[in-house]
Amino acid sequence: MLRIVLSRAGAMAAVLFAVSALVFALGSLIPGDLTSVIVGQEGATREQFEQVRRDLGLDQPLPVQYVRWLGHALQGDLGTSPITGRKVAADLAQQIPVSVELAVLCLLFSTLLGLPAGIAAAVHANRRLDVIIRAQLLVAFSMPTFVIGILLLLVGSRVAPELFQMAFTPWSQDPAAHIRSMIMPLATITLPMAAMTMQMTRSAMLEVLSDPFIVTARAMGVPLQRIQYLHALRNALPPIVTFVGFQFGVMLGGLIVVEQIFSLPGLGRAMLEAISTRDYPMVTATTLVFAMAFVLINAVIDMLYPVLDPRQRPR
Amino acid sequence: MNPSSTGAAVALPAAAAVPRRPAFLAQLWRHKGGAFALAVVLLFVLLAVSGRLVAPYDPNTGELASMLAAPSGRHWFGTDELGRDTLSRVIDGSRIAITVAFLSVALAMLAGVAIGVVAGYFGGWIDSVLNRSQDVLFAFPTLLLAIIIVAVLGPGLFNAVLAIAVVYTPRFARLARASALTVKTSEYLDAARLAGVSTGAILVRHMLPNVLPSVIVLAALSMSTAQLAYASLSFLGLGVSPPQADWGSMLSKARDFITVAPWLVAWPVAALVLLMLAFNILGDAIRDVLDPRHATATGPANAV
Repeated sequence: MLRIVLSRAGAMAAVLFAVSALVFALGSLIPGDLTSVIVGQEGATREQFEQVRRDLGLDQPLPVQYVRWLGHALQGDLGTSPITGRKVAADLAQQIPVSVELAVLCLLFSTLLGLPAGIAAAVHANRRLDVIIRAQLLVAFSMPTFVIGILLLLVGSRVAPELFQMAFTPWSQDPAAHIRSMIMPLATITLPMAAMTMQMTRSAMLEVLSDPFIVTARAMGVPLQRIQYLHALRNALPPIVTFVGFQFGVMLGGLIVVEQIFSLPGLGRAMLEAISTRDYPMVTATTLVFAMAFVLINAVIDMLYPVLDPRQRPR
Repeated sequence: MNPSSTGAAVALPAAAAVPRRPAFLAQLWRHKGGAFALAVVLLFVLLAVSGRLVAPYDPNTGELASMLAAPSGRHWFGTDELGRDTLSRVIDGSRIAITVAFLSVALAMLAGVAIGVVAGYFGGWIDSVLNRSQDVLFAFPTLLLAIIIVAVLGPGLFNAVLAIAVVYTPRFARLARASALTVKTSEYLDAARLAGVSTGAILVRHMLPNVLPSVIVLAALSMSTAQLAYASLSFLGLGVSPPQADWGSMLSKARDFITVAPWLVAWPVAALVLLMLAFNILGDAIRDVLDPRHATATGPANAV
């Protein structure tokens, strides 16, 4: 087991290295460079321009720039934003917890909602409950995250104005206000995710429920609930977990949208702001963090597979 | 699949494909959802084309006297914070939505089919290089990848279209490659090769017609998600620049006035969802007509 984890970690490091090179290359493809942002477009002499370029190391060849950037990045120094004048790493340290909180809570709640709903749908396959659940799912499926968010805002502003008007409050300031300020964003991102978890649970369960061992268990008089939640679910888990993990990756995009709608000071909003202000060090850093998160999630799922499914374990 | 190209004849295929078209449209029209969806899409296309002729007001200039006016006889859909007519802006937005949906999917289809057919036909290292690079793109979350590409290219309408096209290319490439692989080993292709038909002609005349039906189905199914992906980008401020209206950017602005002017949210959302549904149903209908084998298999499209 340890050997698998180690070889996975090695492969992951290689992928992350490739990703960082790609992100850096993309970053230098962006039209214009940092110099023009710092010096400004007008009034700067050629000498000033060249001076700033030299100071930033932008006159060096790209691979040299990359190695230097990587060296700094590995030490936790992602540069200084020319727009805000703050250290990028310090900003990220503030923003990442907000996004991670949202992501983890989303994963938790969507599983708590989607898994039982999926089991119920599978058990009642093609009967009324199943049809109702699936009709709702279809709606949640086809709407983009920002439409769900804006419709929730519309409803929220009528039904629960106190939730709607909540601006983001850090946990350390006022835990109760923090929870209230997170409800709407969480609902927005959890609904579609729960719908997908439900859909996957339903089809995985349906497959397992027709297996012979279920019939045997029933014939032996095992209580129905126990069969559904213990025997069937345990065997349906591997595909569900894989799929949830995949959706978790997809959700990273949704995270950006939700943070933008509800003005949460997270990573996604920082990325969008950096794109529109042409804050290159910030764009590169946020892109890298998102890419890393995605690679990491996938690696974890790959490692979970043999844990969940003994047949996948090497002998 | 294509009866014309099963013969060893070299010059026939292009001509033989023509008579199928009226039958295809007629079948689509008889399909129960297809007619409705086609009508809705055509309505939006019509609005997109005629645009400012039908729009009651100029979409980009407002009357300050009627700021945030509720829907009325004068302004059917109400007005926004600058007194601009929402109906006119929704109509103007359909031009962007339709253009983006068709253009981005068309670009993705062109690139994807070219890559897929070449990879499938030639195999070897070309195939593995194309496959690997496509796998990397395929693994990435759609919206995240589109945002990153826009970040590199800079915000704007065309760049957003390009980003969506890049994101969608691997699906087409994968499908085209799979179909190309099945055609590659067929006897009539051997016959064509023995008859001395050049590689280029084989690709265009024999591979392409066989790859196209499934690719067209995928294109039809991709329209709705492409439209939504663009709306998401535009909502995030990575689409058209300010005075120009499109549904995503209208919604992004409407968010600030959601308590006082809910109509600013309602109409763009209605237009967006209607077009999305129409594209979805149309895609399913085209699949049913072109590819009867998959008529029953319906999987939900992967929304962004």
